[in-house]
Amino acid sequence: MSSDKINNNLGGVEIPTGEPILGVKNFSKWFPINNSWNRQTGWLKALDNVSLTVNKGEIVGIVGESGCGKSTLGKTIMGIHKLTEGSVNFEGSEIGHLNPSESRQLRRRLQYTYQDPGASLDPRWKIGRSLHEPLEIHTTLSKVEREKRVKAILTAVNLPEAHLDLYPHEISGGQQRRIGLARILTLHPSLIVLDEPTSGLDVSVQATILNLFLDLQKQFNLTYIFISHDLSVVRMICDRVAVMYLGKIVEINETEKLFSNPKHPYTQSLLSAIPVIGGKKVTENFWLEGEPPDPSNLPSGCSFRTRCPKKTDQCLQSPPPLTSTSGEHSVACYNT
Amino acid sequence: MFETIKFLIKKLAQDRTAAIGVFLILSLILIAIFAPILATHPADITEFHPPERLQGPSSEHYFGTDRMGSDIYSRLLYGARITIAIALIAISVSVVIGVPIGLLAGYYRNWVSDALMRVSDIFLAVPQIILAIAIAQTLGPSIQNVILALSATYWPFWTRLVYAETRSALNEPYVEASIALGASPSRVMILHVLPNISSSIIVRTTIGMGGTILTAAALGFLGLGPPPPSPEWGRTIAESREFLPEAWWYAAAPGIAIFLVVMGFNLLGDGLRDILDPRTRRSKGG
Amino acid sequence: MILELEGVKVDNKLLSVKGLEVGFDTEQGLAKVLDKVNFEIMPGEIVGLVGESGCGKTTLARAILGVLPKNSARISSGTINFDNNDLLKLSSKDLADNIRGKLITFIPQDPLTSFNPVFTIGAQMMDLMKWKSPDSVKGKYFTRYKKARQVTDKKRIIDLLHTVQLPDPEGILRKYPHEVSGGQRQRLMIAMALLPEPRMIIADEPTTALDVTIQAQILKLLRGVAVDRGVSVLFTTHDLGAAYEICDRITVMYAGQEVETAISKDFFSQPRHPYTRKLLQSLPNNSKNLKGIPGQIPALINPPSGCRFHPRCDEAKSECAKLRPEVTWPKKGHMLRCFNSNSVSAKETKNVVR
Repeated sequence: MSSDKINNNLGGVEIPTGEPILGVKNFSKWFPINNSWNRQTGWLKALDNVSLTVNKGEIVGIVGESGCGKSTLGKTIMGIHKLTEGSVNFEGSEIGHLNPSESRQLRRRLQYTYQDPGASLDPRWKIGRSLHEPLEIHTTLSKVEREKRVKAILTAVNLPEAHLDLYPHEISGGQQRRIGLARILTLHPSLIVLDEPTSGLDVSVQATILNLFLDLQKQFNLTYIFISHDLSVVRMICDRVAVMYLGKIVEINETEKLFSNPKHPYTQSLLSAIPVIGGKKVTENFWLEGEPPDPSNLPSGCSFRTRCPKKTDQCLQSPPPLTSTSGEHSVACYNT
Repeated sequence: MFETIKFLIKKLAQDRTAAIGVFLILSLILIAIFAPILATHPADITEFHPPERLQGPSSEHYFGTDRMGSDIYSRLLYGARITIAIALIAISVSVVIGVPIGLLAGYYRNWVSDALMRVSDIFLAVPQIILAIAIAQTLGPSIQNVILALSATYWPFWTRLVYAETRSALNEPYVEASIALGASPSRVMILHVLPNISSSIIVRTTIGMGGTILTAAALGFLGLGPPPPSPEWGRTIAESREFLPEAWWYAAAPGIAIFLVVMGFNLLGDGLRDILDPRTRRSKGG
Repeated sequence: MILELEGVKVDNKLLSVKGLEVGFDTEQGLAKVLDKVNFEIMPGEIVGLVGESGCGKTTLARAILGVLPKNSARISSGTINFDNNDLLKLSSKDLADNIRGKLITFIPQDPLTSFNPVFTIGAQMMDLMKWKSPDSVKGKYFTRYKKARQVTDKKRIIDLLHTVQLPDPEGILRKYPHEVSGGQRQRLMIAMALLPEPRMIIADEPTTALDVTIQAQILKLLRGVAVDRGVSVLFTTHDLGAAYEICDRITVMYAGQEVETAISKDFFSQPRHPYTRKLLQSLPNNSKNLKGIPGQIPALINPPSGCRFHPRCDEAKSECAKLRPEVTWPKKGHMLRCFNSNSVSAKETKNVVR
C-alpha cells in the first residue's frame, strides 16, 4: 500500500508524442448471463477480440450505437470491469490483469470521466475538498503542498480561487464541469478516457466544452479517448475514429477519410443516418432496416450480416478480421 | 455544520406540526435536566407517606398521590430522566452497531454481505418482549437490562435502512468517480456514502425514539424494567392498575406523558423527513 | 402539407395559442416559464418547436394537453384555441374525456417509463381503446366494453402495428414492455398515439433517446403516417437535424419567448433572428470551427427584461432591453420578433448552413 504513495513528484514514463501510449490487444470482455436460478446460460460478448493503439497526443474517437460496447471498452481499459481475455499496455506496462490496488500506481496517469465531470463532485463537499481528494489518495503530499497544486490547477482551468470555498450547487453547470476536469488533472494524467462527454448538452454549450478539451489538451499534453454516440461531435475533435458494432471494431480511419469515404457497410449506414441540414433528407433515402440482433445470441460469422446489403456466403462462416488497407485505415469486411 | 443546524431550525419553525414536535421534545429535555428544581416533592422518589395515599389532584399535589403517598407529579419529572436515558442509550447502541454493518453489507457484493444481512434477519426475528423477559429472568430486572433487550432487537432496522441506501448511493456519479479515482472502500463508505445517507438515518432515528420509548414503557409495565421505587413511567401505570377507575390520575398522568413524548418524536421525525428527504418534500416548485 | 401563413387571421387554424403566460411557483419565487407566447398549427402540418433547455417547449406542450403540475403552475393569461374551443376554459373532466388522448394524443420522450411494467402491451392497448377508441361512448364510466367493439378495436390495433412496421403484431401484444427494444417501444407509442384517430399529435422529443439509425427509421415513419392521415404534429426537439428532416414549419423559442417562425426551407437558409443564426452556427459542421454562444441561458425567476436574448446578443440595441419586440412578418409566412432589420444577404446564408 505505501509503495503507491512514494511518488510525490507524480512522475511516470514519458512517452514521446506520436508513439503508442496505450495498446489494447485481442481484448475481450464477456459477461455471464444467468437465468432466474442463477445458473449460467450463456455469454454476453460485450467486447470480442478488440485491438486498438492510441498514440500520444492523439484524440481517438470511439463511436457506435447503444450496445456496441464502446462504454464497456472504456471501463475495461480503466479496470472498472475486469477483462476476460487479452492485454492492455499503458506507458510500457501491462495493466490488464492486475487488480485495482496493484495497478493503482500504474493507472494513476490514466483517468476517466463519464458524461458530466461535474457530477463527480460530492454535493456535500466543498469544491476545495473535492480537488484535494485525488492527491490525498495517491500521494503523501502535505496539506500545504496539495493546496498549492490545487490552486495551480484552478488557474489553469480559468476559475477563481474563491471557488475553493463554495459548494458545487453554488456554481454554474459549466463551471462544475470544469472543476470536475480539474480534479482529474491534479494527478497530471497522460491519457483521459472521456465517456459521452457531450451527452445531454445543448448545442450552444457543446462547442464551449469541446474548446475546453482542446485547450486542456495543449496545456497538459494530454491524449484522449473520446467515446460518443454523436458522430458530428466526434468529427469535430478527433484525429482518428473507430466504429464499433456489437462488440467489435468494424472500421478505423483518420477522421476526415472515414467520414468522406466509409468502406464498411455499417459505417456507411451510420453516416447516412445523420441529418444534414441543407442536404438531402435522410428519411427519404435511409436503407438500413431492422435492429441489431440480440447481443447474447449473435449470428454466426459477421454480426452485421443480418442487415447488410453486401453479404455473401463467406460472411456466414467466420467473422471478418480487422485488416489494414492503407495508411491508418483498417476495416473488417470481406466485401469492400 | 452550523449553517445546516440553523437552516434546519428555520425550516422546522415554518412547519407547524414539526414545531409542536420540537416544543414537546425540548420540554422533555428541560424537564429531565431541571427535575430537582421543578419538582414540588423531590424527596418522594424514595420516601413514602402512607397516610397521604391515593389523593386526587390538588394544589399541593398537581397530579395527585400514588399508593405509597408519593407525589405523582414529582415522580413523573424524575421518570422523564429514566425515559430519556433508556431511549437515548438504546438507540445509540443500535445505531452504532447497525449502521456500520449496513455500510459493509451494502458496499460489498459477496458472501460477507449476504452473511451480515442474514445475521440481522435472525436478530429481527427475535420478539423484543420475550427477549426482555428472558434477560430479566436471568439477570434480574433493571434499567441496563431493558437497554440491552432493546438494543439487541433494534439494531437490524438501521442495518436494513443503511444497506438499501448504501446500495443506491453506490450508483451515484460522485461515488463512482471516487472509486474510479482509486479511493479505498473505507474512504468511500465513511467520507462519501455516510454523509449522503445521514439524513435518512437521522429521520429513522428520530421516529425510532418514539417506538423505543413505547417499548421501554411496555417493558416497565411488565415489571421488567427498573425495580421499585423507581419512578419509571411504565411501572407507574402498572402500579395503578388495581386502583382504577377511582384513582384515575394515577394512570392518566404517566399515560399522557408517554403519549406526548412519543408524539413529539414522531412529529419531529416527520418534520425532519420533509425537510431532509427531497423526494417526500411537499413540493411547491414545478 | 404546407400552408402559406399570412399576417391575416386565417380561421381554419387547428391550434392557436395566443399570449400564453405560464409561471411556476418555486422556493425562490415565480419562474416565468412562458412569456405571452403565440403559436399556431394548421391542419395536417408538422410543426417543429425547437429550443435549448429552459426554453419552454415542454411546458408549452404540457399546457396544450392540460397536464401542467397543478400545485405550482400558474397560467396568468392567454388562450389556447383548439378547433375553436378555448382549452383553458374547459373543465378538467372535459379535457380528460374528450380532448386528451382522443383529439390530441401524446408521444413521450422516454417510451419505457410511459408503459406500465406489470401489464402486457396488449392489455394496455386494449385499455386505451376501451376509453379512447373512435367508437367509444362519450363520458360514461361504467359502460361495459361490448364484445363486438372489442373485436373491431383489436383489428384496429393489429392494423396499426402493421403500419408502424412492427414484426409479428400478435406476438408483441403478448409481451411486456421491458421485453421489446427502445425502437420498438417508440413505434408502439406512435401506434398508440394514432389509435384514437386524433387531429393532432404532440411528440415531445420522441427520438432524443434513440440511436441515430433508429431515429432515422422513426422519423421516416412518423412523417409517413402523419401525412397519410392528415394528422398535425407538434414536434418538440433540441435537435435541429431532426427538425430539418420532418418539419414543415419551425418555431424557435428562447427562455420562454418564441422568437422566429418560418417554413423549414426559409428557416434554415435565411434565419433572421440572431439567436437562430447563432444556434445554426454552433451546430457541428466540418469546418472545425467550434463556435458556441457565450453566456448562459438565464434563470427564469428574474429573466432579462424585454427580449430575453439581449444580454447574449451581438446586435442588441437599447430598445431590446426595454420592450419585447412585436410580431413582424418580414416575408410571407416568416414571423420574427426582433428589433433589428435582419435582411439577410445570400453570402451570409452560405456561412450559416453547411
